[in-house]
Amino acid sequence: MEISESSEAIRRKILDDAEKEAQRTIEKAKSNASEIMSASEERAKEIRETEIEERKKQIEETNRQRIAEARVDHHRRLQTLKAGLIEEVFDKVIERLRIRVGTPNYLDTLNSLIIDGGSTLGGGKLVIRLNETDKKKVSQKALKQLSQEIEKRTQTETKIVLDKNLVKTIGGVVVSTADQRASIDNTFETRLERIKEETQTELETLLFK
Amino acid sequence: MENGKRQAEKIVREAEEQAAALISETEAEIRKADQEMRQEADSATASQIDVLEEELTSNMKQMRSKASKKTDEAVSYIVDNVLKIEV
Repeated sequence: MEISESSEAIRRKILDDAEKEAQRTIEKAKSNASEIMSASEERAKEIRETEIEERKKQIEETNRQRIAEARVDHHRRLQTLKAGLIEEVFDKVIERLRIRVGTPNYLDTLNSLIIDGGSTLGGGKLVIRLNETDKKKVSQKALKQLSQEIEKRTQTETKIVLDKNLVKTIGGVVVSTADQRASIDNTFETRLERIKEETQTELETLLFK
Repeated sequence: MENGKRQAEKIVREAEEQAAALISETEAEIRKADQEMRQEADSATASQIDVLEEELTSNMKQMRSKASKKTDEAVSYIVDNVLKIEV
């Protein structure tokens, strides 16, 4: 009876111990599980915050870029329009100059351009080149008078001769020294090109401000 | 005891599965938020670009109108400069 009781006590003790051990294992597992869950919640929170913030920044940057590109494109389109409108002015200038060469006043202008070119070169032996129409308008007498005018201004004996070669221009003249070392291009086109650069700011102010 | 071990393993496995599900849920949530943010930002940007486009159209119209009023003056100014000689 005593032996039997003792073995029963031992069996119960073993079972109790096993039960306790199992319970400890389960508790430990629960604690591990809880750690896993809280770590994953933490990770999820971190992913959510950093990832969303990061993507938000990327989206904002992309859209800032799109707006900036649109602004640059608008600026470019305005500049293109400006350039086109200025070009229209110059086209009209050419038209006006073509009309001008057909008026009686043009001969005075041409003479002034010859005197200006010749005086700038300092007088002396000069050659002038004109277009076909103008060449017919300038007489030997006129050349003599122009030479005298330049001589008066430069205090240098001057003689202008007409170049047999023509210049392709609406109007105006190319004046050169006889040795061709120096020349003044007083054709309308060249003068217009110079003026284009010189008057760009004034022209923009006049047209667009 | 074996039973307790199996139960413990099951608890940990389930926790791992839940954790993986949570992460995948979070990723899906981020994708959705990303899509929404993009749509919202796209729409806001498109509106801003529309406003800019309207401004540009108006500026261009104004520019053309101003220029057309001053074209003759500008042409005369340039022609005078081409013909102007200090003689």
